[in-house]
Amino acid sequence: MKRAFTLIEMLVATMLVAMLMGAVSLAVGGLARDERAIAKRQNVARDERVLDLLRWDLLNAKSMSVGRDGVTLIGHGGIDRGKMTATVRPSWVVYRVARRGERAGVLLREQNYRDDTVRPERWSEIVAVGVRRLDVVAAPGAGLPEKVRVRVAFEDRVVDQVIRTRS
Amino acid sequence: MIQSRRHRGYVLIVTLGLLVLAATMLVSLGRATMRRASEARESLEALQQRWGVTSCRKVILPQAEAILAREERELKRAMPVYRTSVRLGGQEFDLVVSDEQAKANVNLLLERSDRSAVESELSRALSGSGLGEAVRLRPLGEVRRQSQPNATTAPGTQPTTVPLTRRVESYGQVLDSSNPKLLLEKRSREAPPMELLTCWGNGAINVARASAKSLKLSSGDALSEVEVDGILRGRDEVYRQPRAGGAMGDAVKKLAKPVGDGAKQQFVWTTESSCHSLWVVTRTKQREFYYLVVRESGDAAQGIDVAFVW
Repeated sequence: MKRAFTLIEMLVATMLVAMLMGAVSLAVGGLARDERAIAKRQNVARDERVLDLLRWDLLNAKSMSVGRDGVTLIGHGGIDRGKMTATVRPSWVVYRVARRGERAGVLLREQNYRDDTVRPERWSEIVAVGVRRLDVVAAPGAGLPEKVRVRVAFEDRVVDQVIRTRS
Repeated sequence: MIQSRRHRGYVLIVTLGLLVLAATMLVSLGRATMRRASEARESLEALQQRWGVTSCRKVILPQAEAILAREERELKRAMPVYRTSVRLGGQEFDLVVSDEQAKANVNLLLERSDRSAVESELSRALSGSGLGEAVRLRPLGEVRRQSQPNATTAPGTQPTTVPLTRRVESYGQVLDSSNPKLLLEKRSREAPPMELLTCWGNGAINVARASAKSLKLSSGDALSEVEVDGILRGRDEVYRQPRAGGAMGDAVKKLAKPVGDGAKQQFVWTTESSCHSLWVVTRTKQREFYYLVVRESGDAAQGIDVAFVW
């Protein structure tokens, strides 16, 4: 004679399912919360953030000079330090990697205004950490080249992209 | 019998556990896929946006003068600014084409008066636009000489004796708050700052297009309100009854004749513009992007545009 599940077995099973489902929904909810938090904190990935900022400064630049220490952009890419919004004031912007010895360093963006020599409001921010090297390569010539090749060597990977300075 | 029951219970629990594990894995996989898809879509939108802006810049900016002239022919009135929208690759681009020489040039004002006087003048002119209090001039100390204006001057007048120096080269040097929305959008009945002021061009104002306010601001004491009204009335008449080519220039020359006397020499005017700008406004779910590109025809041959991105 075939026996079905007993009532007690069914109850235990239902209880187990409910507990497991609760655990799963808690886990999934936690994942979603984490994801939202990460998305808020860093909506774009690190590489994208670095490239976006460089692209924005290149678009606002009128001329560029590349040195051993980094790249200097002269234009109107001023950013308000307090509000972190564009001021479009004439500025010098320098990107350089600050390192100690052979260890990876930080990529810095330094800015000061050209239109106020008394209060240039010099300030700098860390754009990315774990950066070994920044290379900006462009065809030589006056003014700002139409295309600039940017290569950022992070500790774990290298980002290499051509940035068009006119769009 | 007891052994068999125990075995069945164990199978049930293992099956349930496996089901839960599979469900969790599927959920995680689904979420990761969705995140990837969302990132890809954002990248696609950003790329599309950049291409859209490039296309507008390459196609529309060289045609700015032709666009304004066509609108003037159709509407039979001066058209210093033309606003429109285009849809490219599923994205909306708001475009504002304008004649920079139809606006009062801040550099010219700075040559005529000192900084504080110009600040007061600009504050008065911008009152009502929401930016009257935000005027704060920060001219560059290092003076860069611009070429001599190739403007049409009124008969009997000299071109500006001092070549225009560009000490102000962006709105950020004029206003404390260079919020592009406030620069672009009309508030109440007042024209927005970008329709009134410019930092580019050779300083000569295009009387065939300038608004009364721009003309008055640009002319300073050279023209009275009555004279400005006279020029604008005459100009509107020419737009309503267009004659053969050159009619506008002749008419305005006649109307602007009084400009040539002594101290009025700083007011230089033209009927042809060589400096135009294009604003491109585009949006993503997260934010709005504002691009401004200014082209001076003298510079265009060398491929130099001035671009601003907010």
